[in-house]
Amino acid sequence: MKYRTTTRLLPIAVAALLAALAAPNAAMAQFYKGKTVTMIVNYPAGGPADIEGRIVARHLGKHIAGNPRIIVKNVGGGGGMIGSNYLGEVARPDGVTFGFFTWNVIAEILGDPGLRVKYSQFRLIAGVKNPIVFYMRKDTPPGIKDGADIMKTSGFKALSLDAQSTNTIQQALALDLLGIKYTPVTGYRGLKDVETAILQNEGQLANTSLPGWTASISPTMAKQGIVIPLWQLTSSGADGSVKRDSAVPEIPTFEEFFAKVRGGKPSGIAYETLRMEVDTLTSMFRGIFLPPATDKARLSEMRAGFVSLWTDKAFLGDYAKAVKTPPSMVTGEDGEKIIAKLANVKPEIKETLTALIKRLSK
Amino acid sequence: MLDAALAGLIAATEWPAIGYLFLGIALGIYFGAVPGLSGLSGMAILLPFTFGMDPVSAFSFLLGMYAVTTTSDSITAILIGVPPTAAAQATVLDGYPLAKRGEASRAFGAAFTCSAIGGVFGAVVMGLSIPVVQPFVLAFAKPEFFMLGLLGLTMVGSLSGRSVLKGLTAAGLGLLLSQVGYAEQIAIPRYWFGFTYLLDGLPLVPVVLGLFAIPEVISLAARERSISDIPREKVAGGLMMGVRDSFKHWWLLLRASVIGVYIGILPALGPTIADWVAYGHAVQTAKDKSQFGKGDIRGVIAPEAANNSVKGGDMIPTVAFGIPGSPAMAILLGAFLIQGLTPGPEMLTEKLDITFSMVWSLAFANVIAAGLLMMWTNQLQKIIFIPSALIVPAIVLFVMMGSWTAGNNIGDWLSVLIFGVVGVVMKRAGWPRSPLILGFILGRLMENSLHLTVRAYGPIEWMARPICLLIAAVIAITLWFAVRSHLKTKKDPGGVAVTDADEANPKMSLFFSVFVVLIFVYAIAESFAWPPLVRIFPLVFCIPGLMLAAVALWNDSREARAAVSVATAGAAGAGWFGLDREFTRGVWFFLWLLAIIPATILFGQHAALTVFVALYLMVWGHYRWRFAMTYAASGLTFLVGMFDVLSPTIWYPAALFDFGEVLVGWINAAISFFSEDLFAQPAAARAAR
Repeated sequence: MKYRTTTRLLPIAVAALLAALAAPNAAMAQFYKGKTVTMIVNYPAGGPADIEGRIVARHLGKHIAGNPRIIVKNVGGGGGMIGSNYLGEVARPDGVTFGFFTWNVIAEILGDPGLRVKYSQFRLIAGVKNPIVFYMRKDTPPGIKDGADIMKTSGFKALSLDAQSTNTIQQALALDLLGIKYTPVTGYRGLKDVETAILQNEGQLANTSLPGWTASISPTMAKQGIVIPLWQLTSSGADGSVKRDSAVPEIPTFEEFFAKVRGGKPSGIAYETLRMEVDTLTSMFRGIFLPPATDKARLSEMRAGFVSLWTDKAFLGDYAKAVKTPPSMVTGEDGEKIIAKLANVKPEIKETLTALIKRLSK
Repeated sequence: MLDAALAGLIAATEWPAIGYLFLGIALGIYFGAVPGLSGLSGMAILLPFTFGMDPVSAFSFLLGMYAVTTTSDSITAILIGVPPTAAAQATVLDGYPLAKRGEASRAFGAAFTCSAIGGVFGAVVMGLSIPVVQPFVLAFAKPEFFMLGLLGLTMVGSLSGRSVLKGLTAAGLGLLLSQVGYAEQIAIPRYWFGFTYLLDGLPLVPVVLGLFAIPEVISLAARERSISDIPREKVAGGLMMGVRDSFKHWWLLLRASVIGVYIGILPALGPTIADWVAYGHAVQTAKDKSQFGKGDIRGVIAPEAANNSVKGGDMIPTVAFGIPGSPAMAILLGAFLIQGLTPGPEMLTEKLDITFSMVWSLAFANVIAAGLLMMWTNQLQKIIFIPSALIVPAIVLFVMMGSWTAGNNIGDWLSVLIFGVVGVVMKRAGWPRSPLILGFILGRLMENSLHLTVRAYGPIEWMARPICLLIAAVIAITLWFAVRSHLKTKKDPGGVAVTDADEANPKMSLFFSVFVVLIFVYAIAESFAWPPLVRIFPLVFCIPGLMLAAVALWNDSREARAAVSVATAGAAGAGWFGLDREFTRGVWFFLWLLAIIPATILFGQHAALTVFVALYLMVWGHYRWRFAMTYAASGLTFLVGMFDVLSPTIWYPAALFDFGEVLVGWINAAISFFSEDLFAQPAAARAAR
């Protein structure tokens, strides 16, 4: 099997990159010309992660210098870790395979042995931001007309995925910080399963990703008056402030909600844990990665491709059609800083997480 | 609503939707008939192609495919005895014996007719009930699911043939197998032996193909004949007889269709269960059960009607609520996303015409496919007269690739071969395999449902829910009838031969009983290392399983001793386990299959499978190398066409030299070269703006 020798002349690569940005058709060092690039999606076909990935794959080729053909392969299972392990261990770091992952933040923080290649070891091309939306059944006693009414409840069931998932962790942390009495029911197989259970009144509260809210719950259960949104979890800015995501400006942030019902700002190790988890997860809900040790030139070309992709109206239109909201990108450079923070997580945060998982598993 | 129905009809019959419907039907016939592929894999493969289609065309395409896989799956099930999809397993039980008697056409007549009628019934129910189904779907929550799982287990009795004891034990074994992998409550893996592959549990498709398909392939390879035991001249019972049979048993046909639709409506239960439940129901309600398993046409009518009507049922919660009615429906939800549609109220109001176009597509596809296949029956049934050496390599290719697409892991191939051995042993031992699969499928569903039920509703209160009580009553009645009829058949043996009982070897059965007892003992011992929550479910299966297995062992040892004394008294038998020349050839063939694995590890799957096909034809079939190479080249074309071009797949990375990677690299380069112009144009247009 032949390998292409990778160029080590960085200045030329940078110049080529600049030239490529200026004129995509320029026939300089076009590595990707005539190539077939494989995108690995770490969840099975048909789900939202897969569809979003495929929408990217349909349009991306035009934006990478050389116009490669992009094909999609699904490697699902293991909570997304089988796909990421594949990219990290089996796929060659020659720039011709990349991953479109819904990545596992908790596994990264706690060093789950199932995650054999850490996300911080991959080269990050770009990410897609997504806030998290919490929602609740309006008929939960004594009746939830406004989000703040949740403080009047005296016990309800909060549904979520498995005990180690961010879906469960962020829910438990948020509700505990608010001092709300609830029964956690973990173990649902997927967000659709959770939605169904809420519809059946098996539980009363849950949380979901932005696409889950805008494309599924909002046009159905919310529109029919069965549920209302409570708050959104979204990433803090560089100055530490938390602002509502532009996709859901009508939903208060968790911090705003807290100030309204409890007064002041949330604090303590529980909030630090929640903040750290949310900052990482929501700012990069989907992460697009190249294998570790991929050449910087490939990384630059791919990063440039994604920057260009986000100006493509056809792509943005297809994406918004599917998830009912335009996608919001985070660049590779910013994204890498976010992931790097996970390597320096305070021991107290890890302990909080471990204790919480243990409590929720009982 | 009538306007929407009419608008839907017009939309479904307009171009290009009608064109896509026919294309979907053609693909569906292919996916259904080829072992290892199914409606589910078809859905995954075709979904990306719907980008850029209008909604009605997209759904016509996908549903045209999905509706008919359970029509064409009867072809392989009846002709070769290999269930090409999980949904065709029950059809094999009586369809294959009919083919062996030379009555394949009759079986087809019944299968296609019932598939069409069942499918249309499902579509009609979908069309009529979507507006009113809400209370039904909302009422079936996790507690009801658990009870349904229990009800499903009561089917075991009717699938066990003469030995309900062995059937129950096999079901227990299936339930135990479903426990492999992470536990529900705490992330502690059970029975994984340190293999990461097993952490997600055993995958269904390799297990089913291993248990049901591999023994038949081995049998075909070992037998050196064609499938039909009866020479061509003596073939009796044609297509129209099968069609008439379907109408003669119209009441069973209707009941089976209803069963299918109900199972479809319940989320997550799909075609796999529908055919078993319908078959079990046919057996339970039949006065004369003696011919089931030997070629009773009712054993074809019931499952074939149900596994088509279930598709209409599946669509109901999917379209009305976005709750997938089956695994394939979960993928169809992706099609909604691509089209920018939201399942739910929108599909029942503003977009009702699109919903109705789906109903029409389902109905048309079922009728068209059945019609087409009936026209080809004469050609199809000639397959049974083809020498098996020509069919075997194709089936091996399909079965191996069907297993591969489960997880793209060499473990899938090991699973299919290991369960192949289990399947051969069970077949020889006269142990029914269907209860094992039923237990396996239901186990996971039941544990997840029970766990969430207890967490969400409390440990006891849920049992008082009205539907749970109703299902409990049905379970009690079913069990009572089963026990009564079992006692009756005990007095009058010659009962249901669902288990190839003619082949049953008491010594092999004894061997298997010992094996099962040891497995249960091991499983129980292992479980003591885990916390109580993780331990409880396995123990609930294993302790009764062990007791049943012990009784089976006791019975088998008595029978084996009796058989030994007869053999020593009589002429020289065929060896201790019934080993004969056919068995030895079977073992050799299995070793050939096993060799595919090291060949894959060294040279990749493309090379291993292609060389297997060529060598098999030359060595076993005694064909000329030119013919063998041509056949093998077609096989390679299939592999690359299906799994590299149409639906790119992850392959095993070869250690020494990967022929497949090189070949696919050339093909990708060629495709890129020819399609480069298409990509260059938009970029140039953008630069020009």
